Amino acid sequence: MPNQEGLLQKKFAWNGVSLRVPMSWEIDSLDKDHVIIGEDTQPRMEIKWTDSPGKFTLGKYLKNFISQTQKKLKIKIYERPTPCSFKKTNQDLEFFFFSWKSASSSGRGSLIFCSHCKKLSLIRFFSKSKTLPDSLQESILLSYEDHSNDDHIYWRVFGLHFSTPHRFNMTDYSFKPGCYILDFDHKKTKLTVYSWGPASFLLSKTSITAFATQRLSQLEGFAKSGVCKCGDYFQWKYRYGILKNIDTLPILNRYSRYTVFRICREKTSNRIIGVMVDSREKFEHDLIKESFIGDIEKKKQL
Amino acid sequence: MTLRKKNNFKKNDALLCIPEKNTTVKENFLDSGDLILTYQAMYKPFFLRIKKIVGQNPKKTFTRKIQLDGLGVDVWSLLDGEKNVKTIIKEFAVRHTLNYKEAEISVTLFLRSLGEKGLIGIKEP
Repeated sequence: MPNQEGLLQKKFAWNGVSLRVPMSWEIDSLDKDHVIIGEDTQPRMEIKWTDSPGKFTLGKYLKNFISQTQKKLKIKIYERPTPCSFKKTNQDLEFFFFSWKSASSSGRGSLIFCSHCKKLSLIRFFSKSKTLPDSLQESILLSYEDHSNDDHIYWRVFGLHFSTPHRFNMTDYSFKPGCYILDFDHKKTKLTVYSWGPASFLLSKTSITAFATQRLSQLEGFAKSGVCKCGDYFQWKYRYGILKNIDTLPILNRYSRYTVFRICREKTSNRIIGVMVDSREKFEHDLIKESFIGDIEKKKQL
Repeated sequence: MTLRKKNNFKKNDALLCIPEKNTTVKENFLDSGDLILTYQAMYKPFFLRIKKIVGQNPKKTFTRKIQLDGLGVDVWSLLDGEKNVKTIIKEFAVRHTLNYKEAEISVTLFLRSLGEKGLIGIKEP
């Protein structure tokens, strides 16, 4: 197999899955468990994944997933033997190759089952206008990961990259030009990641603290400064409740919430990054430390 | 029965089109770096009819101004009548270290609004 790994310069990571694709490929469509990646407005590949049910047998699980996918994507899937050139590197992953056909397009793909996290993923490549070399497809498949080896979920989309603690689930996301917002939660703690850009323009006439208070009017009090891996940051910490001075009555303490917001300018990506933690528990400093702005020792570099 | 002509113009074709400035638009740079564009806008037919009834000035156009911020000025400066939309997006993304997709959405929305106001025209390659 000719080495195509040099071509796969762009790393994509979203909601637990990650892979490498050629530099010119861009995300066309994004959902919590579904992604379409294209090049020059033509779709190149589609990824769909699902978490494992509690009890299952692999055969039945595969069969159900295939029939559901065929219906949903309006395609027909045909089994294909594993290419001789394909040598898997990740022992957790089991690959099942197929070819697919729809009314207007066709291509090849693979079903990937992870014996570690029991996730089942479908990756299909489109070959309507430009046939992708088998070796490139195989290199992309080999770069696929559906879980990380540490307790973090990595995110790398639209120039934004960070990690979140594994226990946090994404509840909402919004990618508008100039402003990205991703919401996560775990029990009663909310984690929101903000990214604004381009920072050089947004901060050309204002300071980062003024920018933060302008964008997030709920910020209270003064910001403290500090230094983290991304550079200098400003942090707000405050407590609020449904009524003013609610914390003076101990019985109503449970109705107050603690908020920490940290903002930082990331010079390499020319973006302003903000993390807000809102919790009933006392300030979740560790959570911010575990996020990309903090001082966590990253075991894995994306 | 009326037959509607099928529009075969795809996104990729649109990205290859070349935007061109309206030569009647006047530019005025401010000290802040912002740019004021002055252009002639058409009255809506409804208002023209009212003007006619009232017996006011029969002019069909009036002067309008819009102010472009730094990012708008950047895109405006890239409109040289030779670069296509795709090239403008790429150059804009590089200038501001933006992701291509983010730049694509921002620039195309901006060009669309300029086109709607008649500040630019679009020619096919």
